[in-house]
Amino acid sequence: MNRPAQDRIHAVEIPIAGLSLLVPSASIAEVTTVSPLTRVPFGSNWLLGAVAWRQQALPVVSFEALFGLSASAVGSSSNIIVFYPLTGRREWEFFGVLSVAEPRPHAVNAATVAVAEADELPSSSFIASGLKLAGRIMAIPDTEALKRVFYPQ
Amino acid sequence: MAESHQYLRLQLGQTNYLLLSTAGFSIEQRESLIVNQSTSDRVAAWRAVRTARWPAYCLDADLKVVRRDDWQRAVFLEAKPVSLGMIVDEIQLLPRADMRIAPFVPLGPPPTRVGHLFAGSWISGTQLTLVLEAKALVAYLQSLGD
Repeated sequence: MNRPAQDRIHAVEIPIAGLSLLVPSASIAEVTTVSPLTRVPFGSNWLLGAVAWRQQALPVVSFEALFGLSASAVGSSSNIIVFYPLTGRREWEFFGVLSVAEPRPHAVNAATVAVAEADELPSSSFIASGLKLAGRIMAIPDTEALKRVFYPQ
Repeated sequence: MAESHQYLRLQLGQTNYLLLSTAGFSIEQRESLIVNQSTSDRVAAWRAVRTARWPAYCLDADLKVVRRDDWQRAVFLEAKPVSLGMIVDEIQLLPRADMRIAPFVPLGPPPTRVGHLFAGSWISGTQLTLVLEAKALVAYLQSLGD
């Protein structure tokens, strides 16, 4: 028998190099192909640049670089996952994350996931926790930590 | 110096930036500047005025100081105590009314004491042009020294 719908969370797996991120579907505004990136002078190494999106500049972030690894190059399977602004930010402050492949939707419930052990995840302050889903480890980003690095006071 | 109600399109190498100059600016040709013969200095040229000289820097597309000699003009931004210049490959005045500038703030720590170098963006087709923030640009140029 199916579990009640309220126990299910719609999530999206974002493949990055060597790992996947898992985020709520509701945090994603759009998935787009990668248009030419404009460099942002003096940007952090995890800020890959900006792309034209909905008549504004969308900053694009490498989670690999946030984790202290080399940023992935844009490949033929790459996408930009456009996130809604983080809580408390202005309504136009969307940001993008570069993936190495198409994102995949998942319906997550207690029967289909297990909590990942800390030693199964990269050591990073940008990871809140992790899940094992469909045989893969998926890291859940820490949005408060992202907010601190994206918008330092 | 002229008060601008326009955007300046500044071309550095193959990259364009826009600058909404709420402060004044002036455009000077190479002939009216004193070229710095020392290639180890950061200042590429000066404009001599009555009581001071205004430095002009040659920047690459990443806004980093470079030294090259194949330039023809500089734009000087009004600032205290002295105006500051940037060598530009091309400069064009664009009417503000024709442009829709969207807000944009780069993620991460700002590179100048007054904030980020960019405050907006202009999209034309698929082309994205970043809009420089005048006060931050002046602060950046002031930080370059001699």
